[in-house]
Amino acid sequence: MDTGFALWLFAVSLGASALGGMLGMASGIFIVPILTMFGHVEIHTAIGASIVSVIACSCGGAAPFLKNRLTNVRLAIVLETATTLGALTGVLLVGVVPVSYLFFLFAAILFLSAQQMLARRDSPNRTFDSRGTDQWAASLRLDSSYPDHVLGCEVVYKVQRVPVGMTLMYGAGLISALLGIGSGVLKIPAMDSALRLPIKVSSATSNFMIGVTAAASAGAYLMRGNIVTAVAGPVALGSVIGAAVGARILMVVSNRRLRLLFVIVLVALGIEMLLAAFSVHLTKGSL
Amino acid sequence: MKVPPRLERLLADLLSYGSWLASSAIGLGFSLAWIDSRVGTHNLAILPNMLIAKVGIALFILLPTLRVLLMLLFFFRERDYRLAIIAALVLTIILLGFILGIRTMSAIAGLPLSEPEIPVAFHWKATSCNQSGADGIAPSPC
Repeated sequence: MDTGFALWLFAVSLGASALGGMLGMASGIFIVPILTMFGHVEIHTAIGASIVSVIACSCGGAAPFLKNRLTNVRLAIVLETATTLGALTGVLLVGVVPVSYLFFLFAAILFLSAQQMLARRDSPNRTFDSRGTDQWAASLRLDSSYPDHVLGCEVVYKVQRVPVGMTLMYGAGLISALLGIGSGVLKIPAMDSALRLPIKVSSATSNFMIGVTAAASAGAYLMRGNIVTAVAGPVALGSVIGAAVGARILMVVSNRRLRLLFVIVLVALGIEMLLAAFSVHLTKGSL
Repeated sequence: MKVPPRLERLLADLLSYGSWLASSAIGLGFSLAWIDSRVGTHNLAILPNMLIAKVGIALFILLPTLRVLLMLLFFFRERDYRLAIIAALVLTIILLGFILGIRTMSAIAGLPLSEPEIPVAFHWKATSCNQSGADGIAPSPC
């Protein structure tokens, strides 16, 4: 029975992560809803397990991005000051924010992800606004370039509006710590709109930063005893294997239909979480 | 194609080898626990195995911290002091997170969110009265 539960956790994380990996999206957003809704795991334990899996996916998937020079490591460490500070704030709020608010916030993030998944652009070749030079970007030498295999050339980009980006990153870090998600869903648009980075650089750098952001809050969750080995272990292992599998089959599957399925799942989970926020436990009623 | 710069290569190696090591530890711990539950040894035999898995989880949490430390040392050696200071700042904030966890532990101890670890490890195998499906994570009626 209990070994069965561990296997269930492993399988569910693997599936969610593989599905997420196929669309280049982190699975962290699925872990907490699935664990609380269907596994009846206490929400803080679910968040603790999720934050470990978020770190695992970030670390496990970072190498190819780094080797292809898509990750802007200098920019990442600068922005991490804001994300980790946000995470600390989130950790402080965990004990204060009522559980129903957590469910509500989670529903909002799920709907936001669904909306983003529908609106995601396919064309990577956008012209970059490289007129203005940000003072911060200049003094910290954040501007860089990356090799684009589709365009077949080196794309030079400039980092814009660093202070705005930092502010948004603080918010992303806070949400990440509070809900146990990587909040790439908030980081990527922030980089896209404020810093004006190419989408490939945004997602690679976001993935790289997620691990450190999550580590700041995972430390606190660990010390508080919210990271339960029997739950976090199978979830982390399943996620990291699933992400690797998902990235492999990324090219094979028809993207469009999969994306639609993803949106439906996100919306369904969002509605579940919303209902849970109003203390209507649909799935619990059956037990 | 240009070769990735040295820092990127170092980081890629640290993160991928670290992930392999941590995942293997978790996998090993759970596999041993599973074998134990098959063979049917007594409950306590499972605890050391879960400890291996626990070390794997701790390693995953430590990995990004080590990554920041690596960047700090690299920037310092390159005499890129601004970035080195920023890396040191990030490292400090992460360590503050750990301290904050210890500090707030007692404050939240009264709330049901801090379920101790050991009972779960016991429940891991020995619950026959568990009907809630929560497997000892949520307080069960028995």
